[in-house]
Amino acid sequence: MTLLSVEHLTTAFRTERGEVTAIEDISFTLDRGEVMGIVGESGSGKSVTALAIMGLLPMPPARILGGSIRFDGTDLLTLSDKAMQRLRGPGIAMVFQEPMTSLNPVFTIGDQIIETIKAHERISERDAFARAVQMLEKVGIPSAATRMTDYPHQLSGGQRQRVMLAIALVCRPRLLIADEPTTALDVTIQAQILDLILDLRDEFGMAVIIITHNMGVIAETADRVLVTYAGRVVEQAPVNRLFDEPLHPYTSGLLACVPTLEQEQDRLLAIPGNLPEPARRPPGCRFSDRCEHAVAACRDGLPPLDDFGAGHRAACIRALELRR
Amino acid sequence: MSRPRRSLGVLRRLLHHRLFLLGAALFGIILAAALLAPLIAQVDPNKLSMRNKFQPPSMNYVFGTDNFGRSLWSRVIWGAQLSMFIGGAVVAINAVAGTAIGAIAGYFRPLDNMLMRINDALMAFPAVLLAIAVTAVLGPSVNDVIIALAIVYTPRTARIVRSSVIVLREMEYVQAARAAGAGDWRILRRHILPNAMAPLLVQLSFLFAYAVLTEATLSFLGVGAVPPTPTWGNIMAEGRQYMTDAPWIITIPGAALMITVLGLNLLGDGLRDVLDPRLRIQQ
Amino acid sequence: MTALVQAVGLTKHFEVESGGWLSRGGTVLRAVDGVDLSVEAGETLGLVGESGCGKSTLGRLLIRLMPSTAGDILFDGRNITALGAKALRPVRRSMQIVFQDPFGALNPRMSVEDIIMEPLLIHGTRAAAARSAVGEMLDKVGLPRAAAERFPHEFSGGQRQRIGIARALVLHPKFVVCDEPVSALDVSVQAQIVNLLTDLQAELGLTYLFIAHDLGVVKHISTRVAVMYLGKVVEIAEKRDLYARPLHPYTQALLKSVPITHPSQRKRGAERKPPLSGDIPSAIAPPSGCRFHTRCPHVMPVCSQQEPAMRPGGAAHAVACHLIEPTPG
Repeated sequence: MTLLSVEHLTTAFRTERGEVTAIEDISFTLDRGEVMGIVGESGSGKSVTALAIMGLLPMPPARILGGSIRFDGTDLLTLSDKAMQRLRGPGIAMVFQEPMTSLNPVFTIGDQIIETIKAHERISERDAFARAVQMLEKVGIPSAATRMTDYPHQLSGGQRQRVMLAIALVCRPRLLIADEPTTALDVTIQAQILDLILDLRDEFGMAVIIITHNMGVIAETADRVLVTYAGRVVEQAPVNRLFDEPLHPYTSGLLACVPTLEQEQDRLLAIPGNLPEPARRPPGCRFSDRCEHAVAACRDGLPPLDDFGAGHRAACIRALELRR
Repeated sequence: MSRPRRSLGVLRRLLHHRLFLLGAALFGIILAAALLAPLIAQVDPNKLSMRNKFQPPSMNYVFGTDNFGRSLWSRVIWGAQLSMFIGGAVVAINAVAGTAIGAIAGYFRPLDNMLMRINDALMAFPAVLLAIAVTAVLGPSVNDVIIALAIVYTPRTARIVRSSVIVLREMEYVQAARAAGAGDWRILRRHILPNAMAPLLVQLSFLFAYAVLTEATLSFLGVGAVPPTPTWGNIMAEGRQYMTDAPWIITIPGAALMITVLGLNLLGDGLRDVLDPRLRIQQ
Repeated sequence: MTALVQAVGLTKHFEVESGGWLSRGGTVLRAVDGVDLSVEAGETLGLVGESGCGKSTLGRLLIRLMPSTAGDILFDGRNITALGAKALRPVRRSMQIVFQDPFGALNPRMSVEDIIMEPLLIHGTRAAAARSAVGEMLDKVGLPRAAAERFPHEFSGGQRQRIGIARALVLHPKFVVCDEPVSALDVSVQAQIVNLLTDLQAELGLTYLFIAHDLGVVKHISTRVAVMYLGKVVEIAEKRDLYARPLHPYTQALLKSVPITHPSQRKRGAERKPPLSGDIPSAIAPPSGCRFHTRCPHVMPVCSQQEPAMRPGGAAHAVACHLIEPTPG
C-alpha cells in the first residue's frame, strides 16, 4: 500500500548567479514498511528531496517549482505550516548526519525526548518520562533511566545517534527519513546503528528512506533504490536488480569504483571528471561529460526515465544496447 | 572560464550592499570636509568677533557663531579634521600594535597567558575612565589623547586578532607550510595574517567610531585637547551653557559626531556581512 | 628492504585542560602511547583504526609536525627526534603530507601557483625556476596548466586534492604521509585520486604512510597494514595475510563491520548481530591491561591485568593479544 508518493518534484535555489534547480522531476512511491535507499553524491539533490518531504526547505532561498508530495493521501505542499508541524513526529520524522549539532546542548536528552512527546500528545509528565525511558531502552542506551539526565556532550557519537533515533521514533512515525545516518560514525558503530534502524522498522512497521552516498549502506538495508545525479533520478530499481544488472553507466561506475575486500585489482575503475556545479551542468544527459559510453545524441536532450520492467527504470538512451 | 579574483567579488558585493553604501557616503562627507578644511573653511576657527556672537545659522554664518563670535562652520570643519586625524592615528597604531600583540599571543602560546592577562587587566576598566586616567598622567594634548586612546583600545584589537590566529594556526594549510619547512615568521606573514585581516578590518572600522566618540567625550569633560582647540567635544562643552538660547552651538557638532559614528557603524556592518565567511555560506 | 622511517616507543600525550588556568597539570590524553613501527622504503604502509585511535597524530609525529612526548623517530637511519628547526629543514624536503580536507588544506588567499611553489621558495629556489616547476607538477597531477593562476575556491574537492598532492610532491620527497586523502571526497572521485597516488608512487619511487578508516581502500593501496586501537598498534602484517588471517579480535571485528557489497550477503536473524557492541573508550582513561578488553568477545581474566606485548603471529605478522601463544624466536 502506498504511503508516500512524490511526483515530478522540482525545486530551485536562488544563488548569486541566479536561480538554479536543485532537483528536477523527482518521482517515486514508497509503500508502508518499505526501505527505500536514495544514493547520490554532493549536488545530487538527495538531501533537498528529504527536506522538501519534511517541509523544512528554507524558503527563500529555496522555491518549489512544481510537482506534488502525497503522504497518506494528503498533499503536503498545500498544507499550512501548522498542519505540517503536527505531521512531523507522528507522521514523518528525520535523523540527520551530524548527531552533535542536531541535539540542543543546553537540555538533557530526557528533556528533549519528553518535549517531543508533549508537542504532539496530551500526556502527563510521568507517563512521558516513562515513555522516554522505554524508548531509550529500545534504541539500546544502557541504564536508560539514569542517562535521562545526561547532556548531549556526555554521550559518544554513536550514543548521540541512538538518542536522535529515540527522539525521531518516540511518536511512532509512519515514515522515518535518515539522511546519511552513519556517515559521521566509525565502522563498528555504523553496523550497530544500521542494524538498529532495521530492527525498529520491523517492530514499528514504519517506512524508511535512507539517504547515503555509500553503496554498502544500500546493500545492507534497502528494498528499493533511487540513484540520483546532478538533481535528477538516473536509475530506480529493486535492490538486487540494481546490484546485479545496473542499467545506467553512472550506477555501474559507482558500483565498480569502490575497492572491495573480495577482489584485487591493479587499478581502480575510476569515473573521470568531477561532479558538475548546479550552474554548470552539461546539456542533455547530466552525466554525458563523464560517461565513457556517451554519444552525440546523449547531449541533445534529457534522457527519459524509461521502464525496463519489474520496477526497473533508467534514464539512459543507450541502456538497452549497453546491457548486452 | 572566468577567473573571478576574490577581492573583486568582495568589492562587487560591497557595491550591492545598500547600508554599506549609505555608511560610506556619510563617513565620506565628514572625511571630505576634514580634508578640504583649508579650502571650504578659510575663516580662522579661533578668530574672535565679539560683535557677531550668538548669530544663528544664516547666509553669512552657515552654522552660526558661538559665544565669542567664532564661526561655527570653521570650528566644526576643523574639528572634523582633528577628529579624523585622531581617529585615523588611533586606528593606525591599533592595527599595528594590536596585530603584533594578538599574533604573538595567538601564535606563540607560551607568551599567550602573560599577554592576555595584561590585556584583560586593561579591558577591565571602562574605556572612558581609563582614557581619563591616562590623559591625567600624560597631560591634555592631541598627541596624548591619541596615546591614551591607543592604550585603551589596543587590547580589544589584540584579542580579536589573537582569536583569529588561534583558529588559523591549526588550519591544514598552515601545517602544510610547516611541513615544507617554513619558519614562524613566514607562516605568520604569508599564511596566517592575510587570512586574519577580514575580522580585523571590521573591528577597525568600529574602532574608528569609538575613538572619535571617546575623544569627543574627553574634550567634553575637559580632559582632552585644551580649548580653544576646535574639537567637537570642546565646542559642545562650551555650547552646553547656552543650550536654550543658542542650541545650534551644541547640536551641530553633535550631529556631525552622530553622522560619523553612524556612517562608520554601517560601514563596519557592511564589511562584516561581506567578509564574514559564516554569513557568506548562507548566501 | 630497509626501513625509511622508524618509530621507537613513540608517545604523544596531550594535556587536556580540566578546570581553567588556575588548576595546573590537568588530565592527559594518551593519543599515541608507545608505538614501534617501521615504514620500509618503497612500500605503502596502511594505518587503520577508528576515530580517536591516534592514527592521524602518529602520522604527524613521524614527520615532526608536532613534538613527541617520548620515544624516537628515525628517518633514513638518522634520529630526527630532537633536531631543531634549522637542522630539520633539509630533512623536511624528504617528508611531506597530504591532508584529508581539501578545503582547509589550501590557503584561500593564494593562487594555485603560489601554493605549489611555496615549498620551493621556502627552500631557496628562485621564483622563476619555482614557477616553471609548477607547470610540471600540474601536468603530473592531471590539472591543466591554466589552473596555476586561479584560486582554490574555484575548484571542486577532487581537483583541490590534486593541488594538495602537487604541493606535497614539488620538493621530491621520499616519504609522504597521506592522512585520509580520499575520505572527504565524493565516491565517484575517490578512485581517481587513489589511482593518481599509485601512479605517482611508481613514477617517483615514493614511500607512503596511508592513513584511512576505509578498509577497502587500504587493502587496495597498501603493501602492509597496521591496525591501531586507542593509541597502540595492535596488529601489523602483510596486506593479504592481515585480511585473510586477522589474529587480533579487534581486527577481526573491524573486517566484519565492513559494509557488504551485495544485498545477497545480507544476514538474517541472530547472524545479523553486529560484531562489536559498545563504544570506543576514552583515551583519557584507557582501560587497564589490553585496551580492547572492554569490548573483546574473547576476553580472559589476564586481559584486564596485563598488557599484551607485540608477538609474532606468522611470517611478517605481529599481534598484541593474549590469545596468541608467544612462539619462541
